[in-house]
Amino acid sequence: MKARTPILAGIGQTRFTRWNDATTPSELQLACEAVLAAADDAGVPVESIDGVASFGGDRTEPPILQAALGLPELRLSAMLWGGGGGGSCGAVQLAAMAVQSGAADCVVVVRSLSQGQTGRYGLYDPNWWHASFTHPFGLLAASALLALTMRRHMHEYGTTSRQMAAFAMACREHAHRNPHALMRDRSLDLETYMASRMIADPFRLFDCCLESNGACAVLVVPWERARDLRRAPVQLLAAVHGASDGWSTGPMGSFNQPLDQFCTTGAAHLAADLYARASISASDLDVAQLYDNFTGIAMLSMEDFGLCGRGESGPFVEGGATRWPTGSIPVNTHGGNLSEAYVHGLTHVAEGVRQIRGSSTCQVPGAQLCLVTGGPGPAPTSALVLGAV
Amino acid sequence: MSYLPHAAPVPDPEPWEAGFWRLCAEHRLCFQRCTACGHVRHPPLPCCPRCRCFESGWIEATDDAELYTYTIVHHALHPSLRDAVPYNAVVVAFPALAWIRLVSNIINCPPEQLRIGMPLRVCWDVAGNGRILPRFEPKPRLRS
Repeated sequence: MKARTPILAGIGQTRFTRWNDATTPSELQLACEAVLAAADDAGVPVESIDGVASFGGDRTEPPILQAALGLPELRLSAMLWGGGGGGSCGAVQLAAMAVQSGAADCVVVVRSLSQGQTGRYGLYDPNWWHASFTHPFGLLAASALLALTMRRHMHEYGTTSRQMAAFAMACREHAHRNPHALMRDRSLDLETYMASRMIADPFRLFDCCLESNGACAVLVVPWERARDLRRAPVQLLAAVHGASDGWSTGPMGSFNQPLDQFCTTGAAHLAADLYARASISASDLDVAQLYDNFTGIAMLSMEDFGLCGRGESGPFVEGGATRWPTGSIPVNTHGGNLSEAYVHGLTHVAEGVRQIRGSSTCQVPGAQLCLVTGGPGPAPTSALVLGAV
Repeated sequence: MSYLPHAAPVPDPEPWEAGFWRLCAEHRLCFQRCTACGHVRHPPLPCCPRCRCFESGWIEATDDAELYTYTIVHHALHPSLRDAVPYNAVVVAFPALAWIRLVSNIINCPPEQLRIGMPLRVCWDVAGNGRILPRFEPKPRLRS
């Protein structure tokens, strides 16, 4: 391995709470807690952190974090453009690029949400691009925008609500084993799913991710520092972010895409690039953490990233392929955004690290390769592959 | 009576979008077309993504509008819409114009009668700031 090969050295997270929990600390405090936890997990001094990267318009600006934590030197202050969780893996890519080039030596990726302090996330934002062509028609948020994609997928391929329920229930079962998951004690069966209120048809309440407070942090260092680490190093085999041609010309991207790309997350090209860079194919993966903003949209990610064929995600999840421990490729072994917590998917990267370390609460035995994806729908989106060293 | 309440969000066009709304005020649904290469695009943008020309005009929508996809919104994400739910929000496509698409709503159609592919025709509605909105209704069948 080359000296500057990026290693995921530490992960940290705060306690997760519901979005309207009045006891949650400020976003800045949550960010500090998560960064300290990641440094402690890695066994590196906090003072050695010299870079910060984030995404999704996180409000914790790196110089403020530097001031709050007393970091002596800041060499990277990076933000991946794009809303929502699209950039979760892309922010890790920015950190890795800085480490690989030598621009910085110990970069933390952090995402923090405290909605009691800042207002509920995901409500109407008048500053969206192309807003005049969506908002006056009542398309105000991701649920309705992506419901349009899902409705057409159901029309084309016969995907059903029962199939989306199967994915939601698998994630919930994983969360039952995760002591940090917000829904660890809440069971979900088909009857409860079907009886839940409609949000934006075809998405019911239990198709939608949680709304949470909390922070998560991931620490990236070069391989040459691996011997100083407390934990077994996890290699970042490849990370990519991007958008395909035309994906941004329309709200949430896909509206002007030809039919063969309309019912997708626009990430098929990104997946091919990712696997080529990691020198793997989808069939080599042991486990995957897919950004689950909505059940059905995570299923479209399964198709784009080649876990199943185009249009086959419904039968794929209904047949139990993504359910731990019996499925052929367990997905979201922490419970995901649907059942663990919604910290814009950086928690998926942390769970990927746990799988490669062998420390997940739904551990895939001997997991060597883990796919992690960023939020599907917005542009850019992102993805990465983690591997054992 | 508008399909959505007047307190709902209204069009607030960017400079390069103004032409679309000016034509809507004349009850003309038009899409932006590149003066140099003829490429039709929506939403409007300052420059042609195919030939990078900054000159553009407007072409009338064809009369072959059809329902491309739809949702029924049940959860209001803006206070003004609390009494308006459930309402539909749809994507309309124009096959003869290279399947160009537009977000809108369908009036005069109960939700259970929405069908992907159903023929539509444009009708005009008013937003809270007086802007004219293109909405759609099921196209009446021709008598043979």
